[in-house]
Amino acid sequence: MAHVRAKKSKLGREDRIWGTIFVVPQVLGAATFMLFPILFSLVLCFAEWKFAGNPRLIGFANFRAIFSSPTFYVSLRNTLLFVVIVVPMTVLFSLSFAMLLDHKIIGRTFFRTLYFLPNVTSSVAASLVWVWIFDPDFGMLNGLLSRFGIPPMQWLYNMRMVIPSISVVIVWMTIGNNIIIFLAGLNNISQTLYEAAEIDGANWWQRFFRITVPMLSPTIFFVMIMGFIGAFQIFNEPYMMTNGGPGEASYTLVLWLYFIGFRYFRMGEAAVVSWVLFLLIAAVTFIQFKFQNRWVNYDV
Amino acid sequence: MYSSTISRNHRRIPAVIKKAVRTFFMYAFLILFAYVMILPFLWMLSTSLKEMQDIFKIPIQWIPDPIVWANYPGVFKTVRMDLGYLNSLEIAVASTAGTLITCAMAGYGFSKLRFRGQAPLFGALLITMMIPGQVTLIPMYLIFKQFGWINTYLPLIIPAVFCNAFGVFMFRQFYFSIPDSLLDAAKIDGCSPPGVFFRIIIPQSKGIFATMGLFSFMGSWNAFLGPLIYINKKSMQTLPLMMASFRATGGQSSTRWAELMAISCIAVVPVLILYAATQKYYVRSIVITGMKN
Repeated sequence: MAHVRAKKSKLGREDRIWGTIFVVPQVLGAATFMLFPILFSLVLCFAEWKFAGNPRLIGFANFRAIFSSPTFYVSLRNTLLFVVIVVPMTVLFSLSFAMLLDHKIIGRTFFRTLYFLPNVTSSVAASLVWVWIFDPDFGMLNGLLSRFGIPPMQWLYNMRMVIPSISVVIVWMTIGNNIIIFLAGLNNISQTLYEAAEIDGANWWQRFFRITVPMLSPTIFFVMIMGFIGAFQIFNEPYMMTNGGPGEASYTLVLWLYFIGFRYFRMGEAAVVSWVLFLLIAAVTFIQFKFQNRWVNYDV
Repeated sequence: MYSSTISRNHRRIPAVIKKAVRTFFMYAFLILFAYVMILPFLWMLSTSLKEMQDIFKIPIQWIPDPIVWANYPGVFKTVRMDLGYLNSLEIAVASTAGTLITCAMAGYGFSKLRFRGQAPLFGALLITMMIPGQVTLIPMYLIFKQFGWINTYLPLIIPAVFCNAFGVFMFRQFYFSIPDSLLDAAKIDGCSPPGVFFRIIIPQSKGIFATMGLFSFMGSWNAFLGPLIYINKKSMQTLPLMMASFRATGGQSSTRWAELMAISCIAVVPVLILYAATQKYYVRSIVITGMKN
């Protein structure tokens, strides 16, 4: 008995030593490239800095400026709207397509490549193309709809349609990545599970919800976490497609942060916004991690 | 096959029809959305072969007339695309190779090895992902200025390789699916963790290496902001930077659309090749784990 105990602790110690060694490169990198910038930006929250010269501490003035600005609340609302649209759509569509593309259909590789093309296209080019598609006068979308008798819509120039429209583009651009991730996850599910279920007479629905979803749950969890983190930071698309317009209708927190910091050079205020954003993302991620025990299955 | 129970036999014909209908809808769905997926790219391709005045014609002229092949060699004359290609390739390959190694190691450490402070450390790593890039942009530039790394490729490679919470997260989730019993068997046979890593984990990692490798390569290949602020020498420019030079400051009308689209199309090729090359890792293969259950 004593012999077994000693062996167990030796293995444990080995694990501990090597575990630490194996994660050191990433941890060291994160400490170097994240820690200083984080601390720096934290100090900036309480300072005034216009890029040149030295920062000047001004207490809570930046916080007051941000929280009393109506644009903050507009940006916050817009960002939340983006998140609520983009994340479910992304997970839903990429999972569906991944499952479709997992079957042995004719031209599977061809289709998989097609679905990956949006990701591969430079986002500069892609954004410009979509601006053209959404163009109220010359755009392809209105042209297509007019054939069905639907009147032309303003899309990116309409305050209520701009966020859903941009969301379509974002989902379009990110599906490819997530399809790949889901395909990798699907491949890891052992076929014998499905065969056993078929023998037991399970139909497609049951197989999906009792085998596929649980076995895929770590992957779905990953896609959701990354999806939320990414959606809260949406910047490129509103920047390139509408510049936040019309008015402030497509302002996101990061877009506003960019304007404050890099156009108006109010770095201190920009730092405050970035920290608010960070806390928001951290809260959402934390909640997801807390709930993962309810549905994410790590047993193999 | 195992379509066995007796009660199924007298429902066989409807089942076949059901399958046919399902297959039909599958294809219809796939094709319809494939069309949406590919449309902007087709416009890019078509535009790259047009003359300037044809690009914004209504209705859209999908097949250019005349077809201006000259835009493609023209691009090579305007900017040194061959150099751009090589530069981008150099950065992307170095980043990807390094990232795969460090993230696989960290992913293994966080999923299969237990050590003190593991959970908070992983949490801290996750937190770094939630920080918008804009926050760290300027401080990072200051750091690299101190290191003397401006105008080298190091700021583009080192953070990607050593500070990649996304990669660590992905590898960790993936390695959870490797059965513990497999690793325990090796441990009982006296295998040390690095041994387990090289003999069991790595061989099982083909799928995730393909996935992460692709993402890492793509991220590096398409990166714009990083190269923009860290590279000043023209001879060191990457492809996205060269693309940007086609976007004139005059706004939409003076942008050289055809050439911009041509260079975009050319830039897409290596990623597509890599994608095609990694496809075989997404085909379901028989996983021989030697386990009875």
